[in-house]
Amino acid sequence: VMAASLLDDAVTHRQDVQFESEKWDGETKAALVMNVIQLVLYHRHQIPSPIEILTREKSLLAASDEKSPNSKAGFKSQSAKRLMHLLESLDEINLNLISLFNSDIDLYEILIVLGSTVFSPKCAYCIHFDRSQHQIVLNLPFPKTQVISRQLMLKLATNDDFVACQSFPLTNLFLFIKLPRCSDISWFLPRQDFKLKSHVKPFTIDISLHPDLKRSQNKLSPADTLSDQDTDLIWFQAPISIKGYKDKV
Amino acid sequence: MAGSATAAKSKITLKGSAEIVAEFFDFGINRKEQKYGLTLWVSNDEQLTDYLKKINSYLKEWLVAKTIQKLVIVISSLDTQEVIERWQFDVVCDKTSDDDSKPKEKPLSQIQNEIKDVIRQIVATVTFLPLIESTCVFDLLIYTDKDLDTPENWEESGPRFVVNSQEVRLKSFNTLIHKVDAAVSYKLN
Repeated sequence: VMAASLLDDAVTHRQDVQFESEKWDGETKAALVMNVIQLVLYHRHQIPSPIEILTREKSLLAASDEKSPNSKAGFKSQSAKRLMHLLESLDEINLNLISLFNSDIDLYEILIVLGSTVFSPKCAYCIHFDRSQHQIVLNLPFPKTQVISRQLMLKLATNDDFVACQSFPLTNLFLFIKLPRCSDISWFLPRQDFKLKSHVKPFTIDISLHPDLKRSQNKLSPADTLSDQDTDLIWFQAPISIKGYKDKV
Repeated sequence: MAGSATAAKSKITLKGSAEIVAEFFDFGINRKEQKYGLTLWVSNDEQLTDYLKKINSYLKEWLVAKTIQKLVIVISSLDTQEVIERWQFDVVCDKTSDDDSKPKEKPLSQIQNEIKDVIRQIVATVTFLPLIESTCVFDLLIYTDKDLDTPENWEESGPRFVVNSQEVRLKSFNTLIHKVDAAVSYKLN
């Protein structure tokens, strides 16, 4: 199993995603990160069904509780409690990502790590948002977040490298973001000691805007040409990890 | 370390392959059951279950006879009859295989893993397929060889394609006697 896991991650796999939009807001970027987290949880067998289905289950459980408040089914069952905890954790991460993306802080990279601890990763996923500065205005309508989300999900769900995953037992999902050291944020905690183990090659997702913007006069932010050390970037970690669950039928 | 034990080979006969494929098509729509290492939703509506059982028995017959080419599930709006989603499963049968043929060798666990991957991918389509907000109905279409007589209670039909659609090809599984490819078409918003 160990050898298979290493082989699985030895080659860098990637997915480039381009959206026909010329800008995006904090909610959209946060939604895209959450989409990746949710797909990773499902395709790595950490949750029994996609989050969309689990969210509907939560509504059914709530209805079941209303009908028979004294029964042991509904929210009182172990699976239900784990489901609630999972959804609450995802909500908390989402809110803090929205806050971060809507701030002035320049976010370089997002890293999702699965493993029992951050120093024993089984696999990792890296997300880059296009940070280049664009000189032209295309006056494109701003698509709904849901439309953009579904486009990303389609790309990833049909990417053989993304879905062809070795399943492993329930483990933790950790979220990291790479920011300048001096960033003024409170919820994410600085982890100067963190570095992803070299044997784990993250699946990379590059998300960019309308292709015409790249073909336009296009200047990278000067900081993009510098190394992490020059720009004094460090990893910040979400203070909560995500733990999935298995369904007991 | 990588295991050195050889996975036990399973002998796959025509009838056995038909059972495996028919069982795959049997799983679909409210009760949770564990199968292929997955939690699957299975209908607990008696009328629907009876209907699907009948379909399943036809499927097995056509799989053994190697006359089935495709199984299609068409989801359309109850009010407008517009086709909103179309699931197509292409079935390629090894025409040289019959009851007396030497069984094919492929581990059952490998076939079940392939089926598991197909089902997981089908379930994952909920993340990108457009939400269907209207009440819908479904129809089952079976493409068979031309010389097959239309069975009782069945009628000939057009292909019921989705107008202005996007198609997504999904994974496949193969018993070495029957190969099933899956794809979904849906209305582009």
